[in-house]
Amino acid sequence: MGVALCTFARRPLQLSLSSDEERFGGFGRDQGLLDQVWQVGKEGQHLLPPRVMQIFKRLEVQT
Amino acid sequence: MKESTDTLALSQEPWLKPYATHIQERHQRYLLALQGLADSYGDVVEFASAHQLYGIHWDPIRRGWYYREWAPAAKALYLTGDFNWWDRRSHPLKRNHRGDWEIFLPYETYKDTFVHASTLKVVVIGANDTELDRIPAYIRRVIQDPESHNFSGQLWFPNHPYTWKTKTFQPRHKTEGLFIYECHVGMALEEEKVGSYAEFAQLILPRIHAAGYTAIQLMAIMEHPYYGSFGYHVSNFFAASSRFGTPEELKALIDDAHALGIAVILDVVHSHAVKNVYEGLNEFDGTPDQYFHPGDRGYHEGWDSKLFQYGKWEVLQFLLSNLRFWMEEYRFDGFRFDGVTSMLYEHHGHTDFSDAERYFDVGVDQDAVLYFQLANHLIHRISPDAISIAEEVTGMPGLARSLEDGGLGFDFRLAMGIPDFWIKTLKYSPDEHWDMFGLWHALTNRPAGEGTVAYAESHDQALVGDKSIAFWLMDKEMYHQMHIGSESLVIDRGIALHKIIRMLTLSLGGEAYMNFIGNEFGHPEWVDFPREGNKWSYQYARRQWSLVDNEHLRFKYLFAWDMAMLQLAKVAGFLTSGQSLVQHHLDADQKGLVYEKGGYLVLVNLHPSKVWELPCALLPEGPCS
Repeated sequence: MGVALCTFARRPLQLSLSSDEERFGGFGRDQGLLDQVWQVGKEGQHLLPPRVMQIFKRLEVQT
Repeated sequence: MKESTDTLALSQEPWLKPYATHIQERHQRYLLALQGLADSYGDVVEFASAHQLYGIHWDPIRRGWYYREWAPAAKALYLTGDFNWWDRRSHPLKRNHRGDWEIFLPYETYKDTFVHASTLKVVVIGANDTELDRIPAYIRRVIQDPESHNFSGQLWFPNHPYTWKTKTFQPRHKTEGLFIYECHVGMALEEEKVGSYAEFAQLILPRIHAAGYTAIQLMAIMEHPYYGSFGYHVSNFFAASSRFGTPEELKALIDDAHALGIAVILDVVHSHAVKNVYEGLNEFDGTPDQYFHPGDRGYHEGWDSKLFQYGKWEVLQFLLSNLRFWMEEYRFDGFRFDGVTSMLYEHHGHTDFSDAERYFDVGVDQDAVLYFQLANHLIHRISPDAISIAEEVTGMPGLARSLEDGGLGFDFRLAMGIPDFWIKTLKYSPDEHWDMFGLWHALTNRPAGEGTVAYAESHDQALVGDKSIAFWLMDKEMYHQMHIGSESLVIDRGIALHKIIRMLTLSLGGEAYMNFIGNEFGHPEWVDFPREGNKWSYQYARRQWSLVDNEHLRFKYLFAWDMAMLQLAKVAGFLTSGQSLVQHHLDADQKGLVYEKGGYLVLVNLHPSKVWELPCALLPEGPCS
């Protein structure tokens, strides 16, 4: 199983719903973001700033 | 349909087993009623055709118009109007062989006077010897004289019937998800006036479509003499409110919605009726119990209105015919039944429901239960994909279970506890005290196997005396600090929570989602219709679209979030996938929540100041793996 990211923000790990509004309003799939999440994930923790919601999608991968 | 009621799925549920007999009995009453209707009328659809008999109808064989009225205790009825220069005695109705009152007007005699747009009433000499000018009960159109404020029936014989552009439309909620936009035609515009059906179709429908909603729920369509009642004090059940335009303009609105793939749900008010005798049904034949219960049982103190007697076959036929009429004449795709709790119980829900016995004991109005069973049977017979929603708060078992399972046959119940939870939280809990367990419970505790419409706020929360979630969060700061360059902590907090509240509600709260017009972009303030107390002002009976259209204001970000949220919900199948919801982590102190739904992992930090460091060990295989 692999991981795909689907988020409301273009900067998922810095997502703040109270500022940076112009980055919101759409969600997309972006290989760069996937890599970013993947890397942070391997560091063993996940950061979530105050009053934030993040959404990740599981993606079945053909092996 | 099952022949036996012994194996009803609902009665087999462990917590309901003590009440299996009650469930089987209520299902048996439904089966017996269906059989009785089949024996007498052919089926329930034929039974629900009183609107084709009563009221004013063209008879192509005799070439003339019939007017028929059910007024069993009345002593005399006279038709009066423009056609006879309002002569109060010249056109008496006679009792026919059915016991109904009836008059026939030959075309050759009345072709120049009984004409389109002319007005009329019926003089009723009641059983109590009163003589009152009434409006025919099955009238299709009612208008108000702008000077005298007097309401009259209006003949509506347009030269050409409305030609539907969309030949067939079926709601797609089962595959696409039901995203409801609750709205009110009159207050939908920014101008301080009563909006029209045509303006709504032209200006508002495109916004709703662009936002991604798949259904509109129209309030205040059934004619109501008092605009400020929000459409809930209905007087004329078969008349589309004329203050918004003509019947053809309402049909065009629905047609346009269908062309956009949007289903149209009618907020149908069968829970009560206006008490007015001049405009409404109250004491129509001079008795208190023709349509309504006599005495105290026929009056709702909180609503100051009359309560129907569902056990009378004529009343049942009136109401069921009303549903069929709206579906067939106007092509509504379903109903949001108002005030279901009040209907289901003689105490109107004003009792303690800690004991499940309350759902089945003597407080239940079994006639109303039967009405709902027949109503849901009827509307799904007319259209299998019709949408049926109950405004019900007590958790009546089986409310949104199929009739075959022993339920009442609704497709959905409104999750009235969710907006209640949010409002109470915003009113009484500082951010650091938000009850995370309570949040999870409010959003996920609902009957399994029953459809639920989740919503953070509806028109109820926006009414004067309360206010929208956006206004609870940001209040007067919204007047000066919504500029995109502002640095207001109040606004920052409000916008963040407004978004998260809606996303939590949509992803956790149900199998359908609802939003009230304008709240998707954080409409400020509240809703207050013109009335004497506010000097008949339209200031708060409108929607300020310019706020979301303004590039320099932050309302546009809230709208963008809402649009993206719906898009994600469709992609993820939040409402349709039927996938299980899994909670992976809930931290009451850190205000943290992690859950999985529809193949998506959702991480929420509701803490006002703390950054989370979530150990990957707490997460499922996914971002950390």
